[in-house]
Amino acid sequence: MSRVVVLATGQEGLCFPSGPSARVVVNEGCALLPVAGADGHPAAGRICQLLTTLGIRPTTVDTMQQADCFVLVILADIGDGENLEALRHRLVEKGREAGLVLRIQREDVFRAMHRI
Amino acid sequence: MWLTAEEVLETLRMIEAEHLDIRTVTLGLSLSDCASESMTRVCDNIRRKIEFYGSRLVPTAQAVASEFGVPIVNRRLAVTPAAYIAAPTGATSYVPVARALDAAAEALGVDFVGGFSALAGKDFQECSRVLVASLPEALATTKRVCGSVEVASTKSGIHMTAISAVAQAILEAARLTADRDGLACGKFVVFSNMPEDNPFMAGAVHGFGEGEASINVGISGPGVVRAVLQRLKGADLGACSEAIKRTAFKITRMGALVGQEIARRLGVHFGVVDLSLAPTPTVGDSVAEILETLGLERAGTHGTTAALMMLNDAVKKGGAMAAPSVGGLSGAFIPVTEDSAMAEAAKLGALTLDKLEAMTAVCSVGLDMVAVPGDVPWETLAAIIADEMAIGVVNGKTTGVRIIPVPGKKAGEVVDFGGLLGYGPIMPVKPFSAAEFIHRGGRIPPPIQGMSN
Repeated sequence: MSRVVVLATGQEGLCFPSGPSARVVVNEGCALLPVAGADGHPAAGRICQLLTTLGIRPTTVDTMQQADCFVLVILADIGDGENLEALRHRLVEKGREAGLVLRIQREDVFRAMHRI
Repeated sequence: MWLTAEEVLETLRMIEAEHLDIRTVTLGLSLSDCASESMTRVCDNIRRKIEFYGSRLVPTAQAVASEFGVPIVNRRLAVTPAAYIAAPTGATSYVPVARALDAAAEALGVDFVGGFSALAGKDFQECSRVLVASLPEALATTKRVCGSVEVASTKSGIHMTAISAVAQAILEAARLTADRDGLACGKFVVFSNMPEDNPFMAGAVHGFGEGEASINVGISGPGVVRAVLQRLKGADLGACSEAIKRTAFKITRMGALVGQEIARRLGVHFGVVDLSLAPTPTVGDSVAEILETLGLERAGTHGTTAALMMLNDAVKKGGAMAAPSVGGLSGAFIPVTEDSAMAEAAKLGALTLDKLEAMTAVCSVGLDMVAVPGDVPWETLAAIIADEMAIGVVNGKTTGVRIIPVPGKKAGEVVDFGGLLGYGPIMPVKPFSAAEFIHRGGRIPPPIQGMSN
Protein backbone atom coordinates (compact mmCIF):
# COMPACT_ATOMS: atom_id res chain seq x y z
CA MET A 1 0.00 0.00 0.00
CA SER A 2 1.36 3.47 -0.87
CA ARG A 3 0.10 6.90 0.01
CA VAL A 4 -0.64 9.60 -2.51
CA VAL A 5 -2.03 13.12 -2.55
CA VAL A 6 -4.72 13.97 -5.04
CA LEU A 7 -5.74 17.46 -6.09
CA ALA A 8 -8.61 18.27 -8.35
CA THR A 9 -10.19 21.54 -9.36
CA GLY A 10 -12.95 22.71 -11.51
CA GLN A 11 -12.01 24.11 -14.90
CA GLU A 12 -11.54 27.52 -13.32
CA GLY A 13 -8.53 26.14 -11.47
CA LEU A 14 -6.66 27.18 -8.39
CA CYS A 15 -6.09 30.83 -7.75
CA PHE A 16 -2.33 31.06 -8.07
CA PRO A 17 -1.38 33.83 -10.48
CA SER A 18 0.01 31.45 -13.05
CA GLY A 19 -1.21 28.21 -11.57
CA PRO A 20 -2.81 25.24 -13.23
CA SER A 21 -6.34 24.24 -12.62
CA ALA A 22 -5.78 21.12 -10.62
CA ARG A 23 -3.51 18.46 -9.29
CA VAL A 24 -3.54 15.01 -7.77
CA VAL A 25 -0.56 13.66 -5.87
CA VAL A 26 0.52 10.01 -5.24
CA ASN A 27 3.21 8.08 -3.23
CA GLU A 28 4.52 4.53 -3.69
CA GLY A 29 1.49 2.95 -2.07
CA CYS A 30 -0.58 5.90 -0.98
CA ALA A 31 -1.64 9.14 -2.55
CA LEU A 32 -2.50 12.67 -1.54
CA LEU A 33 -5.32 14.26 -3.49
CA PRO A 34 -6.05 17.99 -3.27
CA VAL A 35 -9.30 18.95 -4.94
CA ALA A 36 -10.64 22.39 -5.69
CA GLY A 37 -13.82 23.44 -7.36
CA ALA A 38 -16.28 26.27 -7.29
CA ASP A 39 -19.09 23.87 -6.44
CA GLY A 40 -17.58 23.12 -3.01
CA HIS A 41 -18.43 20.11 -0.87
CA PRO A 42 -20.66 18.28 -3.34
CA ALA A 43 -17.54 17.81 -5.48
CA ALA A 44 -15.89 15.75 -2.75
CA GLY A 45 -18.29 12.84 -2.85
CA ARG A 46 -18.29 12.82 -6.63
CA ILE A 47 -14.52 12.79 -6.82
CA CYS A 48 -14.06 10.17 -4.10
CA GLN A 49 -16.48 7.93 -5.95
CA LEU A 50 -14.54 8.50 -9.14
CA LEU A 51 -11.25 7.65 -7.40
CA THR A 52 -12.70 4.43 -6.03
CA THR A 53 -13.61 3.28 -9.52
CA LEU A 54 -9.92 3.62 -10.41
CA GLY A 55 -8.73 1.61 -7.40
CA ILE A 56 -7.62 4.72 -5.49
CA ARG A 57 -8.89 4.49 -1.93
CA PRO A 58 -9.41 7.90 -0.27
CA THR A 59 -8.52 7.82 3.43
CA THR A 60 -8.57 11.45 4.55
CA VAL A 61 -10.16 14.59 3.18
CA ASP A 62 -9.27 18.17 4.09
CA THR A 63 -10.78 21.39 2.85
CA MET A 64 -10.04 25.08 2.63
CA GLN A 65 -11.26 28.15 0.84
CA GLN A 66 -8.76 29.41 -1.72
CA ALA A 67 -9.98 32.83 -2.88
CA ASP A 68 -13.28 32.08 -4.64
CA CYS A 69 -12.49 28.39 -4.90
CA PHE A 70 -13.33 25.58 -2.52
CA VAL A 71 -10.26 23.37 -2.28
CA LEU A 72 -10.42 19.71 -1.40
CA VAL A 73 -7.31 17.74 -0.53
CA ILE A 74 -7.57 13.98 -0.40
CA LEU A 75 -5.07 11.53 1.02
CA ALA A 76 -5.51 8.20 -0.65
CA ASP A 77 -4.00 4.74 -0.92
CA ILE A 78 -3.02 2.93 -4.05
CA GLY A 79 -1.79 -0.63 -4.36
CA ASP A 80 1.89 -1.51 -4.26
CA GLY A 81 3.29 -1.72 -7.73
CA GLU A 82 0.52 0.42 -9.17
CA ASN A 83 1.76 2.21 -12.27
CA LEU A 84 1.37 5.85 -11.34
CA GLU A 85 1.76 7.12 -14.88
CA ALA A 86 -1.01 4.84 -16.15
CA LEU A 87 -3.17 5.82 -13.20
CA ARG A 88 -2.59 9.48 -13.94
CA HIS A 89 -3.75 9.07 -17.53
CA ARG A 90 -6.92 7.29 -16.48
CA LEU A 91 -7.57 9.92 -13.82
CA VAL A 92 -7.14 12.79 -16.25
CA GLU A 93 -9.53 11.13 -18.65
CA LYS A 94 -12.15 10.53 -15.95
CA GLY A 95 -11.73 14.06 -14.67
CA ARG A 96 -12.27 15.49 -18.11
CA GLU A 97 -15.50 13.56 -18.45
CA ALA A 98 -16.61 14.99 -15.09
CA GLY A 99 -15.62 18.56 -15.99
CA LEU A 100 -12.66 18.55 -13.59
CA VAL A 101 -8.95 18.83 -14.01
CA LEU A 102 -7.37 16.07 -11.91
CA ARG A 103 -3.76 15.36 -11.10
CA ILE A 104 -2.09 12.87 -8.79
CA GLN A 105 1.40 12.72 -7.30
CA ARG A 106 3.31 11.02 -4.53
CA GLU A 107 2.79 12.34 -1.04
CA ASP A 108 6.52 12.34 -0.25
CA VAL A 109 7.36 15.90 -1.34
CA PHE A 110 4.65 17.42 0.83
CA ARG A 111 5.65 15.35 3.83
CA ALA A 112 9.35 16.15 3.34
CA MET A 113 8.66 19.87 3.16
CA HIS A 114 6.22 20.14 6.04
CA ARG A 115 7.16 17.38 8.49
CA ILE A 116 10.43 16.46 10.17
CA MET B 1 0.41 13.22 10.90
CA TRP B 2 -2.04 14.27 8.19
CA LEU B 3 -0.98 17.06 5.91
CA THR B 4 -3.29 20.05 5.84
CA ALA B 5 -4.76 21.56 2.73
CA GLU B 6 -2.83 24.73 3.51
CA GLU B 7 0.45 22.85 3.47
CA VAL B 8 -0.35 21.10 0.22
CA LEU B 9 -1.34 24.35 -1.41
CA GLU B 10 1.76 26.14 -0.11
CA THR B 11 3.90 23.59 -1.89
CA LEU B 12 1.86 23.81 -5.05
CA ARG B 13 2.04 27.60 -5.01
CA MET B 14 5.82 27.47 -4.68
CA ILE B 15 6.13 25.18 -7.67
CA GLU B 16 3.50 26.57 -9.95
CA ALA B 17 3.44 30.28 -9.25
CA GLU B 18 6.84 31.02 -7.72
CA HIS B 19 9.17 29.02 -10.01
CA LEU B 20 10.41 26.50 -7.43
CA ASP B 21 12.20 23.69 -9.19
CA ILE B 22 15.19 21.42 -9.12
CA ARG B 23 17.56 23.44 -11.27
CA THR B 24 19.89 20.57 -11.98
CA VAL B 25 20.36 16.90 -11.28
CA THR B 26 24.01 16.30 -12.05
CA LEU B 27 25.54 12.87 -12.37
CA GLY B 28 29.15 13.01 -11.23
CA LEU B 29 31.37 10.39 -12.83
CA SER B 30 34.93 9.39 -12.23
CA LEU B 31 36.87 9.02 -15.48
CA SER B 32 40.05 7.93 -13.73
CA ASP B 33 39.92 4.50 -15.34
CA CYS B 34 39.57 6.04 -18.81
CA ALA B 35 43.18 7.23 -18.91
CA SER B 36 45.40 5.70 -21.58
CA GLU B 37 48.50 6.49 -23.61
CA SER B 38 46.33 6.47 -26.72
CA MET B 39 44.08 9.49 -27.31
CA THR B 40 41.71 7.34 -29.37
CA ARG B 41 41.41 4.91 -26.50
CA VAL B 42 40.86 7.71 -23.97
CA CYS B 43 37.98 9.04 -26.06
CA ASP B 44 36.44 5.59 -26.55
CA ASN B 45 36.74 4.87 -22.83
CA ILE B 46 35.05 8.16 -21.97
CA ARG B 47 32.14 7.52 -24.30
CA ARG B 48 31.69 3.98 -22.98
CA LYS B 49 31.84 4.98 -19.33
CA ILE B 50 29.42 7.86 -19.72
CA GLU B 51 27.00 5.67 -21.62
CA PHE B 52 27.24 2.90 -19.01
CA TYR B 53 26.45 5.13 -16.04
CA GLY B 54 24.47 7.87 -17.72
CA SER B 55 22.10 6.17 -20.13
CA ARG B 56 19.26 6.06 -17.56
CA LEU B 57 19.84 9.55 -16.13
CA VAL B 58 17.38 11.47 -18.27
CA PRO B 59 14.47 8.99 -18.23
CA THR B 60 14.91 8.40 -14.50
CA ALA B 61 14.91 12.11 -13.73
CA GLN B 62 11.82 12.57 -15.90
CA ALA B 63 9.99 9.74 -14.13
CA VAL B 64 10.82 11.06 -10.65
CA ALA B 65 9.83 14.60 -11.65
CA SER B 66 6.50 13.35 -12.89
CA GLU B 67 5.72 11.16 -9.87
CA PHE B 68 6.75 13.78 -7.32
CA GLY B 69 5.28 16.70 -9.22
CA VAL B 70 8.52 18.65 -9.03
CA PRO B 71 10.04 20.10 -12.22
CA ILE B 72 13.64 19.13 -12.93
CA VAL B 73 14.94 21.75 -15.33
CA ASN B 74 18.34 20.30 -16.30
CA ARG B 75 20.03 16.90 -16.29
CA ARG B 76 23.80 17.22 -16.48
CA LEU B 77 27.10 15.44 -16.18
CA ALA B 78 30.24 16.33 -14.25
CA VAL B 79 33.43 14.36 -14.77
CA THR B 80 36.94 14.07 -13.41
CA PRO B 81 39.07 17.06 -14.48
CA ALA B 82 39.94 16.03 -18.03
CA ALA B 83 43.55 17.21 -17.96
CA TYR B 84 44.53 14.28 -15.76
CA ILE B 85 42.72 11.68 -17.87
CA ALA B 86 44.40 12.90 -21.04
CA ALA B 87 47.84 13.43 -19.46
CA PRO B 88 49.28 9.97 -20.30
CA THR B 89 48.69 10.59 -24.02
CA GLY B 90 51.38 13.24 -24.11
CA ALA B 91 49.21 15.09 -26.65
CA THR B 92 49.67 18.79 -27.32
CA SER B 93 45.91 19.35 -27.58
CA TYR B 94 43.03 17.88 -25.59
CA VAL B 95 40.35 19.04 -28.00
CA PRO B 96 39.55 15.41 -28.96
CA VAL B 97 38.61 14.77 -25.32
CA ALA B 98 36.24 17.72 -25.38
CA ARG B 99 34.62 16.36 -28.54
CA ALA B 100 34.23 12.92 -26.97
CA LEU B 101 32.56 14.48 -23.94
CA ASP B 102 30.30 16.53 -26.20
CA ALA B 103 29.24 13.48 -28.21
CA ALA B 104 28.59 11.43 -25.09
CA ALA B 105 26.50 14.22 -23.55
CA GLU B 106 24.49 14.62 -26.73
CA ALA B 107 23.81 10.89 -26.89
CA LEU B 108 22.44 10.99 -23.35
CA GLY B 109 20.28 14.07 -23.97
CA VAL B 110 21.93 16.19 -21.28
CA ASP B 111 22.49 19.87 -21.98
CA PHE B 112 25.93 20.32 -20.41
CA VAL B 113 28.89 18.26 -19.27
CA GLY B 114 31.35 19.89 -16.91
CA GLY B 115 34.91 18.82 -16.30
CA PHE B 116 37.10 20.02 -19.14
CA SER B 117 39.14 21.24 -16.25
CA ALA B 118 42.51 21.48 -14.53
CA LEU B 119 43.98 22.50 -11.20
CA ALA B 120 46.75 25.07 -11.36
CA GLY B 121 46.54 26.84 -8.03
CA LYS B 122 50.20 26.62 -7.27
CA ASP B 123 51.86 25.83 -10.59
CA PHE B 124 51.25 24.20 -13.95
CA GLN B 125 51.68 20.52 -14.60
CA GLU B 126 52.25 19.90 -18.27
CA CYS B 127 48.73 18.51 -18.63
CA SER B 128 47.12 21.56 -17.02
CA ARG B 129 49.12 23.81 -19.36
CA VAL B 130 47.91 21.80 -22.36
CA LEU B 131 44.32 21.95 -21.15
CA VAL B 132 44.40 25.73 -20.80
CA ALA B 133 45.89 26.00 -24.30
CA SER B 134 43.12 23.72 -25.62
CA LEU B 135 40.32 25.69 -23.97
CA PRO B 136 39.49 28.19 -26.75
CA GLU B 137 39.01 25.58 -29.47
CA ALA B 138 37.40 23.07 -27.11
CA LEU B 139 34.80 25.59 -25.92
CA ALA B 140 34.22 27.09 -29.36
CA THR B 141 33.77 23.83 -31.27
CA THR B 142 31.57 21.97 -28.80
CA LYS B 143 28.05 22.75 -27.69
CA ARG B 144 27.77 21.07 -24.31
CA VAL B 145 31.27 21.05 -22.86
CA CYS B 146 32.01 23.35 -19.92
CA GLY B 147 35.49 24.05 -18.61
CA SER B 148 37.04 25.35 -15.45
CA VAL B 149 40.50 26.00 -14.05
CA GLU B 150 41.46 26.51 -10.42
CA VAL B 151 44.13 29.19 -10.32
CA ALA B 152 44.14 29.99 -6.61
CA SER B 153 43.38 28.59 -3.19
CA THR B 154 43.71 29.61 0.42
CA LYS B 155 46.39 26.95 0.85
CA SER B 156 48.39 27.66 -2.30
CA GLY B 157 47.95 31.37 -2.94
CA ILE B 158 47.22 32.97 -6.31
CA HIS B 159 48.99 31.60 -9.36
CA MET B 160 49.29 34.79 -11.40
CA THR B 161 50.99 33.08 -14.35
CA ALA B 162 48.02 30.74 -14.69
CA ILE B 163 45.66 33.70 -14.49
CA SER B 164 47.49 35.32 -17.40
CA ALA B 165 47.20 32.15 -19.48
CA VAL B 166 43.52 31.79 -18.67
CA ALA B 167 42.78 35.45 -19.46
CA GLN B 168 44.35 35.05 -22.90
CA ALA B 169 42.38 31.83 -23.44
CA ILE B 170 39.15 33.64 -22.59
CA LEU B 171 39.85 36.36 -25.14
CA GLU B 172 40.71 33.78 -27.79
CA ALA B 173 37.54 31.78 -27.05
CA ALA B 174 35.55 35.01 -27.48
CA ARG B 175 37.28 35.70 -30.80
CA LEU B 176 36.53 32.19 -32.08
CA THR B 177 32.83 32.66 -31.29
CA ALA B 178 32.56 36.30 -32.34
CA ASP B 179 29.55 35.41 -34.49
CA ARG B 180 27.76 34.32 -31.27
CA ASP B 181 28.86 37.29 -29.15
CA GLY B 182 31.69 35.33 -27.53
CA LEU B 183 29.30 32.71 -26.17
CA ALA B 184 32.06 30.12 -25.63
CA CYS B 185 33.20 32.15 -22.59
CA GLY B 186 29.83 31.49 -20.94
CA LYS B 187 30.91 27.85 -20.61
CA PHE B 188 34.06 28.57 -18.65
CA VAL B 189 34.83 29.51 -15.05
CA VAL B 190 38.10 30.33 -13.36
CA PHE B 191 38.07 29.43 -9.67
CA SER B 192 39.67 29.94 -6.33
CA ASN B 193 39.02 27.08 -3.88
CA MET B 194 37.16 25.08 -6.52
CA PRO B 195 34.53 22.77 -5.02
CA GLU B 196 34.74 19.11 -6.06
CA ASP B 197 31.02 18.39 -5.94
CA ASN B 198 29.45 21.43 -7.56
CA PRO B 199 26.42 20.41 -9.65
CA PHE B 200 26.02 23.81 -11.33
CA MET B 201 27.55 24.79 -14.66
CA ALA B 202 29.84 25.99 -15.88
CA GLY B 203 32.05 24.94 -12.97
CA ALA B 204 30.85 21.39 -12.31
CA VAL B 205 33.52 18.74 -11.90
CA HIS B 206 33.71 15.35 -10.22
CA GLY B 207 36.67 15.78 -7.91
CA PHE B 208 39.41 13.32 -7.08
CA GLY B 209 37.97 12.69 -3.62
CA GLU B 210 34.58 11.71 -4.99
CA GLY B 211 33.35 8.17 -5.54
CA GLU B 212 32.87 6.29 -8.78
CA ALA B 213 29.52 7.92 -9.48
CA SER B 214 27.14 10.11 -7.52
CA ILE B 215 24.11 12.33 -7.91
CA ASN B 216 24.36 15.95 -6.79
CA VAL B 217 21.38 18.26 -6.87
CA GLY B 218 21.08 22.01 -7.25
CA ILE B 219 17.82 23.60 -6.13
CA SER B 220 16.42 26.92 -7.16
CA GLY B 221 13.92 29.05 -5.39
CA PRO B 222 14.53 32.79 -5.62
CA GLY B 223 10.89 33.31 -6.58
CA VAL B 224 9.72 31.49 -3.46
CA VAL B 225 11.97 33.54 -1.17
CA ARG B 226 10.81 36.74 -2.81
CA ALA B 227 7.14 35.78 -2.40
CA VAL B 228 7.70 35.05 1.30
CA LEU B 229 9.32 38.46 1.77
CA GLN B 230 6.53 40.20 -0.11
CA ARG B 231 4.18 38.91 2.57
CA LEU B 232 6.42 40.47 5.26
CA LYS B 233 6.12 44.11 4.22
CA GLY B 234 7.50 46.30 7.01
CA ALA B 235 8.85 43.41 9.11
CA ASP B 236 12.30 43.87 10.59
CA LEU B 237 15.30 42.13 9.06
CA GLY B 238 15.51 39.55 11.83
CA ALA B 239 12.01 38.40 10.94
CA CYS B 240 12.95 38.39 7.25
CA SER B 241 15.96 36.21 7.98
CA GLU B 242 13.81 33.76 9.94
CA ALA B 243 11.30 33.53 7.09
CA ILE B 244 14.07 32.88 4.57
CA LYS B 245 15.51 30.15 6.81
CA ARG B 246 12.18 28.37 7.04
CA THR B 247 11.69 28.60 3.29
CA ALA B 248 15.21 27.37 2.55
CA PHE B 249 14.60 24.41 4.84
CA LYS B 250 11.51 23.39 2.92
CA ILE B 251 12.95 23.72 -0.56
CA THR B 252 16.14 21.93 0.44
CA ARG B 253 14.14 19.03 1.85
CA MET B 254 12.42 18.78 -1.50
CA GLY B 255 15.76 18.76 -3.33
CA ALA B 256 17.25 16.13 -1.06
CA LEU B 257 14.23 13.89 -1.44
CA VAL B 258 14.28 14.06 -5.23
CA GLY B 259 18.05 13.64 -5.44
CA GLN B 260 18.07 10.64 -3.13
CA GLU B 261 15.29 8.96 -5.08
CA ILE B 262 17.08 9.44 -8.41
CA ALA B 263 20.34 8.15 -6.93
CA ARG B 264 18.54 5.10 -5.53
CA ARG B 265 16.97 4.27 -8.87
CA LEU B 266 20.28 4.69 -10.70
CA GLY B 267 22.12 2.60 -8.13
CA VAL B 268 24.68 5.30 -7.34
CA HIS B 269 25.49 7.27 -4.20
CA PHE B 270 23.69 10.47 -3.34
CA GLY B 271 26.22 13.24 -2.95
CA VAL B 272 25.09 16.71 -1.93
CA VAL B 273 22.39 19.31 -2.25
CA ASP B 274 23.80 22.62 -3.42
CA LEU B 275 21.83 25.26 -1.52
CA SER B 276 22.41 28.01 -4.06
CA LEU B 277 19.56 30.27 -5.06
CA ALA B 278 19.95 30.17 -8.84
CA PRO B 279 18.03 32.75 -10.85
CA THR B 280 16.92 32.58 -14.48
CA PRO B 281 16.10 35.38 -16.91
CA THR B 282 12.40 34.74 -16.19
CA VAL B 283 10.78 37.65 -14.37
CA GLY B 284 9.99 36.54 -10.82
CA ASP B 285 12.89 34.09 -10.67
CA SER B 286 15.50 36.61 -9.64
CA VAL B 287 17.92 37.11 -6.76
CA ALA B 288 18.02 40.85 -7.52
CA GLU B 289 14.25 40.99 -7.03
CA ILE B 290 14.71 39.50 -3.55
CA LEU B 291 17.13 42.30 -2.69
CA GLU B 292 14.71 44.86 -4.08
CA THR B 293 11.83 43.32 -2.13
CA LEU B 294 13.88 43.84 1.03
CA GLY B 295 13.72 47.56 0.30
CA LEU B 296 16.49 48.45 -2.12
CA GLU B 297 15.32 50.58 -5.01
CA ARG B 298 17.68 48.70 -7.31
CA ALA B 299 20.12 45.86 -6.74
CA GLY B 300 23.58 47.32 -6.52
CA THR B 301 22.69 50.42 -4.57
CA HIS B 302 24.12 51.05 -1.11
CA GLY B 303 22.91 48.35 1.28
CA THR B 304 23.05 45.61 -1.32
CA THR B 305 26.03 43.85 0.22
CA ALA B 306 24.38 43.77 3.64
CA ALA B 307 21.11 42.48 2.24
CA LEU B 308 22.89 39.81 0.23
CA MET B 309 24.90 38.74 3.25
CA MET B 310 21.71 38.23 5.24
CA LEU B 311 20.04 36.35 2.39
CA ASN B 312 23.02 34.07 1.83
CA ASP B 313 23.41 33.33 5.52
CA ALA B 314 19.74 32.59 6.08
CA VAL B 315 19.61 30.23 3.09
CA LYS B 316 22.59 28.31 4.44
CA LYS B 317 21.22 28.08 7.97
CA GLY B 318 17.84 26.84 6.77
CA GLY B 319 19.25 24.47 4.19
CA ALA B 320 22.03 22.96 6.23
CA MET B 321 19.58 21.26 8.59
CA ALA B 322 17.42 19.98 5.78
CA ALA B 323 19.80 17.87 3.74
CA PRO B 324 21.95 14.88 4.66
CA SER B 325 24.91 16.60 3.07
CA VAL B 326 25.33 20.03 1.52
CA GLY B 327 28.09 21.08 -0.82
CA GLY B 328 28.91 22.67 -4.14
CA LEU B 329 28.73 26.43 -4.09
CA SER B 330 25.79 26.80 -1.68
CA GLY B 331 25.01 30.48 -1.72
CA ALA B 332 23.09 33.04 -3.71
CA PHE B 333 24.07 33.32 -7.38
CA ILE B 334 24.40 36.77 -8.86
CA PRO B 335 24.88 36.15 -12.59
CA VAL B 336 24.22 39.44 -14.34
CA THR B 337 22.82 38.29 -17.69
CA GLU B 338 20.98 35.28 -16.21
CA ASP B 339 18.98 37.45 -13.79
CA SER B 340 16.69 39.93 -15.51
CA ALA B 341 16.52 42.36 -12.58
CA MET B 342 20.29 42.17 -12.13
CA ALA B 343 20.74 42.97 -15.83
CA GLU B 344 18.32 45.87 -15.55
CA ALA B 345 20.17 47.24 -12.51
CA ALA B 346 23.44 47.05 -14.43
CA LYS B 347 21.83 48.79 -17.40
CA LEU B 348 20.70 51.63 -15.13
CA GLY B 349 24.15 51.96 -13.60
CA ALA B 350 23.01 50.87 -10.14
CA LEU B 351 25.07 47.72 -10.39
CA THR B 352 28.70 48.11 -11.38
CA LEU B 353 31.60 45.72 -11.68
CA ASP B 354 33.07 47.15 -8.46
CA LYS B 355 29.82 46.59 -6.55
CA LEU B 356 29.52 43.05 -7.90
CA GLU B 357 33.01 42.37 -6.65
CA ALA B 358 32.06 43.58 -3.18
CA MET B 359 28.95 41.40 -3.22
CA THR B 360 31.01 38.32 -4.00
CA ALA B 361 32.71 38.67 -0.63
CA VAL B 362 29.47 37.65 1.06
CA CYS B 363 27.97 35.09 -1.29
CA SER B 364 29.16 32.24 -3.44
CA VAL B 365 30.11 32.19 -7.09
CA GLY B 366 31.88 35.47 -7.85
CA LEU B 367 31.70 37.59 -10.98
CA ASP B 368 29.22 35.57 -12.98
CA MET B 369 27.99 36.08 -16.53
CA VAL B 370 29.48 39.53 -16.77
CA ALA B 371 29.74 40.88 -20.32
CA VAL B 372 32.55 43.37 -20.97
CA PRO B 373 33.78 45.17 -24.11
CA GLY B 374 35.39 42.89 -26.68
CA ASP B 375 38.48 45.06 -26.94
CA VAL B 376 39.39 44.66 -23.26
CA PRO B 377 43.17 44.05 -22.92
CA TRP B 378 43.98 40.55 -21.64
CA GLU B 379 45.96 42.09 -18.81
CA THR B 380 42.80 43.88 -17.62
CA LEU B 381 40.88 40.60 -17.73
CA ALA B 382 43.68 38.98 -15.75
CA ALA B 383 43.58 41.76 -13.18
CA ILE B 384 39.80 41.41 -12.77
CA ILE B 385 40.27 37.68 -12.22
CA ALA B 386 43.13 38.26 -9.76
CA ASP B 387 41.02 40.66 -7.68
CA GLU B 388 38.23 38.11 -7.47
CA MET B 389 40.60 35.29 -6.60
CA ALA B 390 42.02 37.42 -3.78
CA ILE B 391 38.56 37.72 -2.23
CA GLY B 392 38.15 33.94 -2.28
CA VAL B 393 41.65 33.16 -1.06
CA VAL B 394 41.67 35.49 1.90
CA ASN B 395 38.14 34.56 3.00
CA GLY B 396 38.69 30.81 2.64
CA LYS B 397 35.78 30.52 0.24
CA THR B 398 35.06 29.70 -3.37
CA THR B 399 35.00 32.53 -5.86
CA GLY B 400 34.77 32.23 -9.59
CA VAL B 401 34.86 34.45 -12.65
CA ARG B 402 32.73 33.79 -15.70
CA ILE B 403 33.36 36.82 -17.87
CA ILE B 404 32.53 37.33 -21.51
CA PRO B 405 34.40 39.84 -23.66
CA VAL B 406 31.86 40.47 -26.42
CA PRO B 407 33.64 41.01 -29.73
CA GLY B 408 32.73 44.23 -31.48
CA LYS B 409 30.63 45.59 -28.64
CA LYS B 410 31.34 48.50 -26.35
CA ALA B 411 30.22 49.45 -22.86
CA GLY B 412 26.54 50.33 -22.69
CA GLU B 413 25.51 48.17 -25.62
CA VAL B 414 23.34 45.13 -24.96
CA VAL B 415 24.09 41.47 -25.64
CA ASP B 416 21.51 38.70 -25.86
CA PHE B 417 22.85 35.16 -25.44
CA GLY B 418 19.38 33.61 -25.45
CA GLY B 419 17.96 30.88 -23.26
CA LEU B 420 19.17 30.48 -19.70
CA LEU B 421 22.27 32.58 -20.36
CA GLY B 422 20.00 35.59 -20.82
CA TYR B 423 20.82 39.13 -21.86
CA GLY B 424 22.36 42.22 -20.36
CA PRO B 425 24.44 45.30 -20.85
CA ILE B 426 28.14 45.36 -21.66
CA MET B 427 29.66 46.59 -18.40
CA PRO B 428 32.53 49.06 -18.50
CA VAL B 429 35.97 48.16 -17.20
CA LYS B 430 38.48 50.65 -15.86
CA PRO B 431 40.48 52.39 -18.58
CA PHE B 432 43.64 52.37 -16.47
CA SER B 433 46.20 49.65 -17.12
CA ALA B 434 47.24 46.85 -14.76
CA ALA B 435 49.63 45.41 -17.34
CA GLU B 436 52.87 45.95 -15.45
CA PHE B 437 51.46 44.26 -12.36
CA ILE B 438 50.15 41.30 -14.36
CA HIS B 439 53.38 40.89 -16.38
CA ARG B 440 55.28 40.25 -13.15
CA GLY B 441 53.71 36.79 -13.11
CA GLY B 442 54.69 34.25 -10.48
CA ARG B 443 52.58 33.42 -7.47
CA ILE B 444 51.13 35.49 -4.68
CA PRO B 445 51.88 33.36 -1.60
CA PRO B 446 49.03 31.95 0.47
CA PRO B 447 47.72 34.26 3.17
CA ILE B 448 48.32 33.52 6.82
CA GLN B 449 44.72 32.22 6.98
CA GLY B 450 45.92 29.27 4.89
CA MET B 451 48.10 28.06 7.76
CA SER B 452 45.23 26.47 9.60
CA ASN B 453 46.77 23.13 10.56
